Amino acid sequence: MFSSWRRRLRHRVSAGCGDPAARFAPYGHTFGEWLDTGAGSGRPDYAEVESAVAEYLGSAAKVGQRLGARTGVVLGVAGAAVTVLAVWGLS
Amino acid sequence: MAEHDDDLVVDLSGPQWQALLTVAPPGHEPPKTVDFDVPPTGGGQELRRIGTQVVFTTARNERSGWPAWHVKIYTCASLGDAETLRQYLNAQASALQRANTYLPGAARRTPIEPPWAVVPVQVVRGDGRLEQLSGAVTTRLGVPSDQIVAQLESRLPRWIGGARPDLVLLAVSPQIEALPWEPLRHWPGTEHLADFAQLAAGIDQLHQLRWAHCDIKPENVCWCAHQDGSGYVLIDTDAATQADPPPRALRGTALYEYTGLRALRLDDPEGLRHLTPGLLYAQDRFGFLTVVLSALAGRHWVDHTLLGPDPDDPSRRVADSAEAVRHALRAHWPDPRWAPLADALAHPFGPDGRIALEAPGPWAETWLSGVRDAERRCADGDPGDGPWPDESLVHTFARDLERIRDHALRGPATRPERVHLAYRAIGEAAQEIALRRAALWMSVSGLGIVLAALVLAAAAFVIGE
Ligand SMILES: Nc1ncnc2c1ncn2[C@@H]1O[C@H](COP(=O)(O)OP(=O)(O)O)[C@@H](O)[C@H]1O
Ligand SMILES: [Mg+2]
Repeated sequence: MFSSWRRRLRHRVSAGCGDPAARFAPYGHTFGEWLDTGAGSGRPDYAEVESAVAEYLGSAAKVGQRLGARTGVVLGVAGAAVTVLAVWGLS
Repeated sequence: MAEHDDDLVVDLSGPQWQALLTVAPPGHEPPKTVDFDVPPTGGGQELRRIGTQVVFTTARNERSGWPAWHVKIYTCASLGDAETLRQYLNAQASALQRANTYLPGAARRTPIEPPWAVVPVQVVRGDGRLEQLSGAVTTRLGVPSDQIVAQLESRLPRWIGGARPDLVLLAVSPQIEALPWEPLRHWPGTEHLADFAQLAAGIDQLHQLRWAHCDIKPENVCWCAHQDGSGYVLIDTDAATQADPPPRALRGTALYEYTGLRALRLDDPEGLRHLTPGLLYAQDRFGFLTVVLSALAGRHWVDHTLLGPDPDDPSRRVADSAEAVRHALRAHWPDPRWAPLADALAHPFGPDGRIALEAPGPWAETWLSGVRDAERRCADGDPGDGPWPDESLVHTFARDLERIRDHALRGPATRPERVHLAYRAIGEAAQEIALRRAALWMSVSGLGIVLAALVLAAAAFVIGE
């Protein structure tokens, strides 16, 4: 069950964020230059690439957050039912 | 002295430096037959056809300096042939090396130190006699201490095939990385462009010296990293020729033949007797275009689309018309943002472009910088046009960004390879972050509900009491 959940998450991240190559190729050689020098060099175009990569990671985090929260609710409700039944049984 | 019967040692030296190469026996590939049409040494009209058997192998340098070497061994049929070919190969090698002398710091370096635009080739005589190349480098088979010429006949290792030593010539060059060009690039590989700058300048320099390489194509361009950076380098110099006055025969590779030469040959099989210097320069520049396009659009695209039949007129190739090239590039990179780049790349294939290709003045460097300008115009569209990405995320993911860059920089790769590594690393980091975030929110919401239920149940229990 866990591995099918992992698979679903992987799938949603790929579908939701898109292929990194497609996302970053439009930056052309600026992307490679950012890799080599980093955004610390004060170049606004490198900072832009870096922000775009961060944004890509951020969108993956959001996908994870959404699926995680939803799974948490389902598990939580199930857990709560078990808890309530257990408390019932005890009393 | 060669310690072993099968050892072959080459001594290269110049003022202040020496390389000592131990040549490895070649693999089991059969020798390749290569014919040269060489103008006779004594002058005169008729070309001399020289048939040779060529085998390839490698060598290791025992001294300091470039460690790995590429070795091409030619065996001729007669002494006269060997003598003519030796002078011919030497003339080619020294002419082509002059194309490297304009590179920054060339005067401080030995000829066997990078950077190069054209790989330096040294010719070595199989009979153990000294060879001097353009006064600066001497080459000799065997270390200087063993000079017993009489023994030389028996001294070539058996794997050379039992040929008389004086019929054998070796051409040695620093071994540089052969590049596996990517088959298809669905986004222009513009990260390659910077590494073409020296090669473009070298080609222009060669043409200013009125020489042409004549076999520029993706297989004959390697990549070399050195102290001051990296760049593409031309290899395989044995088709090179003086362009002005033009030769009366040409070696080259049919697939990469320049439109103008192809027309000349198709019109009249004897047409190549009417070569002009401009056609030779254009052949080199056309070859350079196929190499740059292999980097940007992919090798498969070049061999099958660019050099394949034009869908509108199958008697021509796509490469024979700027319109067809532009069309094909636009279809290959459908995003409209790339239009300026596609136009700059297609221009040399049209009639105006071909006039420039055949002109005697320099061309490659200017064209390449035009391509880089066009690429910058593509970047003027988005992604910069969209809203500026959220910068606070850079802090949130600072550690992940660092890891991605580290991962991509660790490989000894070329920049294009690093870029691909980084794309993969970004995809993996995204998955990891999503998983981390999912686990966090799953526990927060799950535990929250369970806790709430527990509190409610406890409250109900208390009230029930
Ligand atoms: N200096 C070199 N460094 C690395 N590889 C080389 C070098 N010279 C040749 N090669 C490799 O050997 C192959 C054949 O050599 P080349 O000189 O191009 O012969 P040919 O005339 O048969 O094409 C090249 O395609 C390349 O892969
Ligand atoms: Mg070759």
